[in-house]
Amino acid sequence: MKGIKDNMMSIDGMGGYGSYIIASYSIVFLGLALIWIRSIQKAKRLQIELREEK
Amino acid sequence: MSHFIQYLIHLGTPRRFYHFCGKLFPWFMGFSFIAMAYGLIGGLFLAPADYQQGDGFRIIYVHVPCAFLSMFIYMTMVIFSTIFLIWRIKLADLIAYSIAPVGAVFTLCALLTGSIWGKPMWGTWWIWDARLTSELILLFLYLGYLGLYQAITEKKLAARMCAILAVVGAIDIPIIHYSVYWWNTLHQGATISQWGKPAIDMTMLKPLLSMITGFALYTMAISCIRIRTEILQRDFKLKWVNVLVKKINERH
Repeated sequence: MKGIKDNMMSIDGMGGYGSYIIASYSIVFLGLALIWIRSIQKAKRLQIELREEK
Repeated sequence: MSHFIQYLIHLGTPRRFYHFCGKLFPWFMGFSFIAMAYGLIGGLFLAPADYQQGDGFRIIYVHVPCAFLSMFIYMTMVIFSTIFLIWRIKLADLIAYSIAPVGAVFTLCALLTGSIWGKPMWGTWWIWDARLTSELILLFLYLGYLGLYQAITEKKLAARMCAILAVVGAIDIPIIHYSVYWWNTLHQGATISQWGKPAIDMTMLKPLLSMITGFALYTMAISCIRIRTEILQRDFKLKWVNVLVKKINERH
């Protein structure tokens, strides 16, 4: 446990790189969420169109 | 003929592949969340800070998976485009087209996170370095592929032209990978793809491998959804889609 605490990044400062780390992780997970939402939206829209048509 | 090849031929019809993707999706999604959770906890909290880059090195836990998948997805597109060009298997073109936007997003993320990492480490957001420039060309290849597919109204011709573009563009992948060896670049060399011992410690490597696995599984899960949608869109006049829609209507 002590070893983990020693290694743990300090959340408050992040060694001066906090803003860079937060920006990177935000961009990537936003990208992942965006591609997920777009894919689901397209699938749902098509499903509705097909149900209405048949 | 071996059982495996027979099984692949059996899967080769859109209808069977549609159901196959539906079965795989929850498994990919579940395992991707587990792998990403371990990778995030390990990368952000358990791995020690780098002796030169400090905590700034933690950006690699999102940058490397994005960069790896940008190339991996493109190579997958090249393989399926080649299959389409040789054997005219429509499903191969459909798979290549379905995964292209996912690859474009990963390429953009790799470029942006690399740029964010570059500012504190190199002192600049961007430099026309061989690795960075070849990765930017990969983004243009993805966008070109998607744009060309949309621009040509005759779908058979669009599929053929885009498959050729994808195969020709494959030349960029070895350039991206070996650019750090061929030219004197600012970008650091390979960390984990060396044949010998990895260049980083195991405490840092394990979360990185976990993140790469998590991102890869997420890509497969998303691809399952996109491929299923594309199959329905292209086969909507066929009988099996009618039966499927009737079943869905009965359920609602």
